[in-house]
Amino acid sequence: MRLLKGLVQTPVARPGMAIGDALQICVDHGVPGIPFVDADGHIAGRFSVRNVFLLSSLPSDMIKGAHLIGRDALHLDLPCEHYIEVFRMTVDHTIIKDIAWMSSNAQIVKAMALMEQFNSSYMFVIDDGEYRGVVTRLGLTRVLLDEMHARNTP
Amino acid sequence: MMTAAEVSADANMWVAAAVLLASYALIFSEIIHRTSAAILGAVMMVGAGMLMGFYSQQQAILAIDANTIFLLAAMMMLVAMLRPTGAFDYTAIVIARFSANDPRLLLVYLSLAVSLISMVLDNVTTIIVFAPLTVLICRILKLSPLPFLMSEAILSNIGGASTLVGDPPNLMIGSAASISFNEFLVHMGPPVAVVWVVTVALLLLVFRSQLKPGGTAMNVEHFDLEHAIRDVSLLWRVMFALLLVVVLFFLHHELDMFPAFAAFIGLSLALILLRPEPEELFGEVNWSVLMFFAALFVLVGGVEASGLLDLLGHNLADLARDPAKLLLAGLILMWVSAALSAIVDNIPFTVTMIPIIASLDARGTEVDALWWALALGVGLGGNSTHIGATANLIAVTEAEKSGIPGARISPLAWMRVGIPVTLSGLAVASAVYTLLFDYLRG
Repeated sequence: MRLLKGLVQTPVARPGMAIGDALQICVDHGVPGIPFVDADGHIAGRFSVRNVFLLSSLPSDMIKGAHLIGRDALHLDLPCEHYIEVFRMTVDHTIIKDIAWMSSNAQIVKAMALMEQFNSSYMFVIDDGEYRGVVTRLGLTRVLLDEMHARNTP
Repeated sequence: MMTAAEVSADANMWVAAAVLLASYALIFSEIIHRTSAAILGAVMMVGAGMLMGFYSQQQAILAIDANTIFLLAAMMMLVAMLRPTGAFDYTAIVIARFSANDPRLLLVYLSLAVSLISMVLDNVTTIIVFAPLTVLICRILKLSPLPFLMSEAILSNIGGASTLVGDPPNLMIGSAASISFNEFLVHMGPPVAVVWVVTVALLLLVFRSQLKPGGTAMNVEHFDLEHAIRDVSLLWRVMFALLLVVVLFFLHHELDMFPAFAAFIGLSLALILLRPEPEELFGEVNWSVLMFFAALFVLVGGVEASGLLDLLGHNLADLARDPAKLLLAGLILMWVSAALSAIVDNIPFTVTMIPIIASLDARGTEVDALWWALALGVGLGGNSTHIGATANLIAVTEAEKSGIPGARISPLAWMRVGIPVTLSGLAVASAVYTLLFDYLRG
């Protein structure tokens, strides 16, 4: 159950929730995403901070040519009003269907491997259909560092 | 009364034609992916041919034009090695700086660059690379990317039509008719150059309201040129290999070398100089396109083996034998090819027309002018609709993805520009074709 040491318990996103509220949950708990639970209470996808910015503010040409943007192209920075508008929208259209998850008794190395497989820095811990929390690569690294420090402490 | 052999030959032709038409209907309907449809059709054709005795597995394999397939594969791999160097990024940014805040100059320079690159590399690849760069430049300069994306796609289609390797139909025509790179360039170059200039003038006129100077006053710090080239050493090495390929293209006829072999010499040099991971590199090859072409060759090979295309050639031979009628036949072929290329993929049409023209050649008819007419028709026709050429679709998709207000290119918006551009291009090409007819006849 070493995995549980890195677990972060969070609320979930629900249909109709404002993007700003879901982002606030992520920021408050220091996680890059939270599960999206449908009206029947089933986990139906994930709300991802990265995906919100990809959909609302980062067109593909800017991502491909990010290294070409010069320091005087200041007008490319979007105004605060843009983000206020985005954050007021509901999370529903930003949800990613595929979710990386595992049970709480899995090994840390499996969690790390699954994150690689899903190209993600976090995943959900679900036991018997019940959401337990989020583990992140950084959180699991902290668990490993804590263990190392504990061993080195006389 | 027909003999049993004649009845059998008739049945073969009917079956082959039915399989071809059914396959093309499936390809154009887009019910399933065009490559899947073509493979299904090829399997049906070989199966029907084996059952009825007009087409064997060996004939099917021999029907695949390996020169076309291998040349495309080699060029795809070379471009895959060139892209990460940042050469295209650098070119686009230098052009943006060079245009000195004049959107009209920016349009001309970007289109010229894309057209010139499309003469050596596949124009679809060129647009895939340039379209996002164009959107970014327009975003930074606060310009609508619509005129730029449309012009680049249209002019890259025209530019690609001038060389043997610029457009897959040209490659197929050149390979079937043993036309060298130089021969292609000197015959297609003059009409394409005139069409290009006229088209640029027309595009500047059509988009004049969107190309008024007055966007963001550009300064050099708007773009980060320093980071454009990602690996200078890699760039020089891949450019050296590409240069060798281009030189060999010009010399391949004198060296009695297939263009595909010339490309593979450059590729093998690049493989030694760059040492890429083969699995990664081969993953960059668009196998779907190559399989589509191979399947089409097998399909049309079956129709050819059935004798149907030879029969069509026999019936057209009288028309093409008369020099006065040959000019008319060439012009009709050009306009019909263009009309069909506007609404359907020009590759199946080209692959079908090649054996028909080749059969005229076998009957002693002068067909050189017909090859050029076919190349001009399929090269220019695709510009009239957004689905007429793959480059157009990429431009439309990139405009849509940009999310810039007013940038979206609807099918109607494309046709409003594409149809006049295509008609004027074809009219100019027809005039040049008629003027140079004796030269084009070889």
